[in-house]
Amino acid sequence: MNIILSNSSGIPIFEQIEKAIKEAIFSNELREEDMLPSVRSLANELKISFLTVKRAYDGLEQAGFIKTIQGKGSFVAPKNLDLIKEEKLKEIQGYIEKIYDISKISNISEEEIKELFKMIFEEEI
Amino acid sequence: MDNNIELQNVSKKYKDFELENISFNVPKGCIVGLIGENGAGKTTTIKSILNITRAEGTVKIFGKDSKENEKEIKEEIGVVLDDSFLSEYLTAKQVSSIMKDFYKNWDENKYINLLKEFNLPKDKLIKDFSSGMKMKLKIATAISHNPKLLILDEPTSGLDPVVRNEILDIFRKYIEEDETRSILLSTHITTDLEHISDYIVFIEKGKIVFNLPTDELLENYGIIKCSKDDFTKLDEKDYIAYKKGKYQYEVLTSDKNVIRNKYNITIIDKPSIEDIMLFYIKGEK
Amino acid sequence: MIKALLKKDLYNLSTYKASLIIIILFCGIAIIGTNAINIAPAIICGIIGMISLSTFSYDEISKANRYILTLPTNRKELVREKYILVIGTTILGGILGMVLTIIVVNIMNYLRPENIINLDYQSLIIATIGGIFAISFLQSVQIPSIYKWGAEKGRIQMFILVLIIVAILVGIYVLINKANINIDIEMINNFINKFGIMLLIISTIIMYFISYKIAYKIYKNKEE
Repeated sequence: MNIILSNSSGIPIFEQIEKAIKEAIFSNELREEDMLPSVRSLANELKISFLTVKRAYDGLEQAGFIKTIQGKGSFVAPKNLDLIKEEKLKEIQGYIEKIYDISKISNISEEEIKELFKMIFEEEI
Repeated sequence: MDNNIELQNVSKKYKDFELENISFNVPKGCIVGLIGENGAGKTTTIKSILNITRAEGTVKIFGKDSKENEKEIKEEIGVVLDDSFLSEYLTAKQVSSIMKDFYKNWDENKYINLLKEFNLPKDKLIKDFSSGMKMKLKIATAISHNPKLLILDEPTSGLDPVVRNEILDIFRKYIEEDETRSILLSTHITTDLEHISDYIVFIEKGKIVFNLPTDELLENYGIIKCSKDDFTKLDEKDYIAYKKGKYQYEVLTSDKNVIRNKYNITIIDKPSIEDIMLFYIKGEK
Repeated sequence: MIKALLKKDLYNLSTYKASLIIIILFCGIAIIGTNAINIAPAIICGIIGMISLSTFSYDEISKANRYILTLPTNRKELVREKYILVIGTTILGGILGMVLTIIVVNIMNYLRPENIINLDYQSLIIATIGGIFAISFLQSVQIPSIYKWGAEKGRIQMFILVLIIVAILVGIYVLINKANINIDIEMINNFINKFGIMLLIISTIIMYFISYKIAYKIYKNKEE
């Protein structure tokens, strides 16, 4: 698993960690029941505060990606397809928002965009 | 009990200096950095925790009163003091033979292994060690009875960056071995703390200025750089201190998101802990 | 814990090994050269007793006490250990001095059968105990003054203190003389011959004990 942190990206470190772990889960690099490194060892490895890692793990747990068993450690939760779909939808929404922004600036109508979409989907078939 | 150290209203009066109502905790599993200028009260705080100096207020270590259970507590603490040790006229081997009579849990094998790991000679007098070697020996001595708590006064001062990093790695390893352990370290080299501490307690003129998680300081704090006009628009509640320059104003804020949302300010830099410290000490309010 | 502290001091003192051997050799030669046989044990015991006080300087250089107080021990044990060390080395020095004197005298008698020295064991013992008494007096003043003023400064203050105490003793003597109190010299001589050794030993113990109490009281409230 790669966790590459940037101090200058403007994205909080804990979010960067969350994202890296999610990606590892999506790409099946981390599988169900795999154990994650302990909070302290990951903090030591990344040379950041224990609390930052804890925040990332708490976030992942709340979102249902991992589960923590007291005294044992954190594990990848069983894959929840809805969860993944939701996550991916969020990602797509981000791209669509960008499309929306660009179309607004350059005066491209909704119809034209829809047309473009249709074309791409039909090409697939 | 989730804290290894609890300080409550610790005060100490000297002729020319006063430590006033120092209260903070060192939670289990955490590394807490004590920062401040030389003479701000870091060493006095540490001496009060260790009962070397008699201060008012209460200090609890492992949940027990530090004065009433002194010997019992000290069995479980490892201490490194910047300029103080048993003697310079000893060899590392002799140190072990002395320490095993002090601590019930002295682990000679662990100590010998640490000496090997740190490349320290067993039979050379300590006075002939380099300052980095001396510090490594003190640390090896402090952790070889497997203490639950490490207290370190300026463990990295006067050392070169390579040795400093080696020493920080020793601390990381120590705390990873058992996650109920804690470290309290004082330093004026704040860059070391950015990569190791979980909380930072900042002492200035004998008082605590702030006690905050390191990531909050590094992620939420920001230095606004703006013109005089922009500065006058800032609400006093939204910044901590500022420095007036000839061509720009620099302003420290504890929440850069608030500034971004509220004002039309584009340049907000990420501060180092040293920057933050300097704003508190030198900045105008 | 006291054992650990003693170890630390003895390791520190072991750096004196070479000079100690030279001193003892020198004393041996001095015994041969002069005929002041009875003084030798007192001198050796004095030197060793005073060398043991140099552990205070070692501690001061390394600020050892501040560190030691972070270990499972306390101020009482710290002070106690110093007295055990100093008293122990002083007594050891006395014994060493006596043994050395006996050895040197026997060697001399063997080498120079025409000039036999008769060793009076009783006066040798009295002289040694007298020496220990004198040194214990100095140490009893010196240790509390080191705790009060530090090992370096303490040295000067000690001489002043010793001078004051000697002046007081002389003063008392002069006063007694002036008051024309009749003291029967004969009686005192008898008394010393009878109880002399016991008296010296008891006053040595009392001096050390009072000194310890004072030293602890000073150190209890000292900033490290």
